[in-house]
Amino acid sequence: MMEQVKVKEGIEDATVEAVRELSTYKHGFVTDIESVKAPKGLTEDTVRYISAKKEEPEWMLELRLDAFRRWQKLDEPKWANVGYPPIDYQDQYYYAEPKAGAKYESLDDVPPEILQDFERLGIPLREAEVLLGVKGAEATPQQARQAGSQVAVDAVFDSVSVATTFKKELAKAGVIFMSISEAIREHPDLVRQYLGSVVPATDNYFATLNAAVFSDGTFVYVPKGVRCPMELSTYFRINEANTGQFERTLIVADEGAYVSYLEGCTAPMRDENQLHAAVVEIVALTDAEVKYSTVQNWYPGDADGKGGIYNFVTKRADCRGDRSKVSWTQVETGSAVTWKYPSCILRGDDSQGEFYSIAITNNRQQADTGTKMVHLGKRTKSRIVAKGISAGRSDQTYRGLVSINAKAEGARNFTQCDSLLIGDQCGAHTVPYVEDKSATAVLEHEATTSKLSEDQLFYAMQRGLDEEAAVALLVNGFCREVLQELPMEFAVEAQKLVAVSLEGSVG
Amino acid sequence: MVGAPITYTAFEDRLFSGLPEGEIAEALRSRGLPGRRTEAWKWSDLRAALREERAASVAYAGSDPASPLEPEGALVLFCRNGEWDLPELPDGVRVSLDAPRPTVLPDADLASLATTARVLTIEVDGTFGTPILIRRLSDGSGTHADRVSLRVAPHGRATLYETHEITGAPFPNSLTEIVLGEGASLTRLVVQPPASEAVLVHTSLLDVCEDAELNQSALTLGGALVRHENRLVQHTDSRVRLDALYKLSGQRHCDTTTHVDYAGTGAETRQLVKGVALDRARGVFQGKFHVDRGAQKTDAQMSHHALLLSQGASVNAKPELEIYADDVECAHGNTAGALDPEAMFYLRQRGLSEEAARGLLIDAFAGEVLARVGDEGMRAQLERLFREASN
Repeated sequence: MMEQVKVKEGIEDATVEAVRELSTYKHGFVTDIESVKAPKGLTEDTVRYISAKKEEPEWMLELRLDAFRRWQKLDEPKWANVGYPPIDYQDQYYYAEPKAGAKYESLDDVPPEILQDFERLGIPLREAEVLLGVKGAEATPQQARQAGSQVAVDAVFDSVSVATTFKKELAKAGVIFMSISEAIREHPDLVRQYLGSVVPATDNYFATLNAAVFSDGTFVYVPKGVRCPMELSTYFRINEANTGQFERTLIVADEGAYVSYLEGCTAPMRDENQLHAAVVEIVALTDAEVKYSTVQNWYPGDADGKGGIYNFVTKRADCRGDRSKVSWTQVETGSAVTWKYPSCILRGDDSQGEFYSIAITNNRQQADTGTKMVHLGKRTKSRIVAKGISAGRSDQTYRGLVSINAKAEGARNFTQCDSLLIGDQCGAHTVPYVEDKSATAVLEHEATTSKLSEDQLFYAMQRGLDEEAAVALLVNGFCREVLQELPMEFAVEAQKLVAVSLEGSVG
Repeated sequence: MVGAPITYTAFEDRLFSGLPEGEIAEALRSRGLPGRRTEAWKWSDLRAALREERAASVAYAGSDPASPLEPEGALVLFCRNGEWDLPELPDGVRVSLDAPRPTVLPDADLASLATTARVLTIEVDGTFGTPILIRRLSDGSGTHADRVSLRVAPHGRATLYETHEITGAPFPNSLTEIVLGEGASLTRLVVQPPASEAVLVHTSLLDVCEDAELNQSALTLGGALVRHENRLVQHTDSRVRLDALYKLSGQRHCDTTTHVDYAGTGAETRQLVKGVALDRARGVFQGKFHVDRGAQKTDAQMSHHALLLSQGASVNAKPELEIYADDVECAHGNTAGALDPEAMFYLRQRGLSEEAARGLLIDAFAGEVLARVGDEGMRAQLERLFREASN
């Protein structure tokens, strides 16, 4: 990191800039490891290459090829309120894995560079595994608790899932938590039953692309009546230059099951834009509950909008069973361009969907994000709380749909979207769609747009806070309702992230 | 958009071949009429509603019905199936009927289409105390267009009432253009009694200059497909009230679409739209406040509230904010639901029949919009029209 600063010494402005960037995006380091990549570009051969690398069964390859052929016929969607130069899909790598190979007997076999990388990200991967013993160690829940860590982590590095911790304890509870490529091999029937059942390969341009080339991701299955003994977590990191990351996550909560799942994302700073087109599918059966929390901190590009991740993600939950519940909580601070609408299909009677979101855009970032709540079952309930903060020259749009089917008797929705503008060069937009076909449903939506209160700022600064700290404090207060929905581990990080993301936005 | 070339409907075929060559014809031919696949018309499929071939309307055949609005001593201008009938004019107002001036109006294909009709220009200088009533009478099953251009000179005052009185199944396409000069003020009321078989599009383009004031209300009772679209530009310190009320029964549809652009600073907008949908009726509200960079101190509020009173009725809403200035107060609210069962219980327990209780609550719901109409006489007439439409 220091080297980068030294290189630019002598050019005063650039040095200042470099230092500022480093402090702004602390995950912007590149890990130096050799990797094996698929040939650049996207053809049927790329798809076959990925499938072969993953030793996938024939049906999976067919699924991928079908999706790829369909994708070739599609046009990239243009309706979102974002602008970016055309993406050259042939100028990307679609698969990269650390050269040492994707499979590790134990964490000891994992290249230390990767472990360091995760350490810098604050993931207690090694620590946990060492304490538990990787090979054949009989871990007990007590030990795990003594270790002070109760989060099981699956870490995805470029295209490959590197390590999954706490596997043994989870296995005791019957919980399956592993990379999706492993799951395709080890639990093909389960995966086949649910994969693509919530987000079919035909869903949209980026979901179709993902279905063709997804490289890895996480599979979670929580069996009937099991409350997952710990929070599950995945950390995604794009390391290679020019690599797209196309992860696929599938979470199935069987009848009466509960699981809380955390997802974090980072990428190194690079000048060129990198594509990230993920798909997340959640299935909640009768009485099941899934809580999905995301802190998305992909590299947002520099102050002039150079570089950064294109984050085009399809996330959807199917509340299939009666009384099932899915709750999405997201803190979106990264990416140059975001296009993301975590949604709930409320199919079961009395099922519930929630969406809590904080989106912060600064500099030249663009975000078009929101949710869809589709009420099909009787007495289904949904709640949407979205907080958007725009600063610098960024643009942000909340786009949401609340749809009440004629059969959704007694459905209920509450939506609140608040936007905060910091500076007069940014934009904040609200585009809610409300479709109501039920005479017994009750829907409420409110939205406000305002700027930081001068009085509150003055008050905080007069108490001795500098302007940036005062803004961070007020913004954290503005986001309070969403922050408190986050699991402990994320809440602290998210609050700091709010402050970091807004650095340089005032004054 | 890349896609297969459009296959015209029988209506489009005839309409497009009859259009004078020029930009409007080109634009319409390239896109076709707006419909389900057009974002701004996704809930009002005009293309589908106008599938069948229609000839140009012939002369208005019926006798004039009683006007739904009877403002005292008003100057009444009749437009029957697109043909104007002008009375003798009092002092203080100038009216002229001119040859068509085809103009391509951005984001408003139907308004562009209406510019192929003759233009009725109304000019008001100073204060014109007499209200102007434009009665648009339509019948038959053809199609016709009309275009009205009202100019209120700086610091002038005017009152404009407009009605759409439709029998049969025609497709009238109306355009009202209004320029409110600096410091001018206008009270405007648009009323449309039910017309189950008709398709109606009425686009209004309003330019509200500095310090000008617009007080607008609309009451619409729907048709096979009805769209009232208001596009406004608000300049510095202008004040606008942009209300609407709709009540729809049977299979009727009504779309209230508004788009406000803020070009100056300190403009104020108050918008309250309420609607009641019964039977299998479909209500649509699309509102947009677009606050340009630099339009600081804009204070804009948008509310839409809908009552769904029958299983089978539907309401679609899209209250949008697009904001590029930071020192603004913008808010919108949207609700949809049934009558409050507790309020019903309260009234029933006080001895009201179910029907009376329901009627009272519906009237109270609508009352909030109507109470904002300043003229008492007009308010009473609107209340009567609203109540007479079936609950």
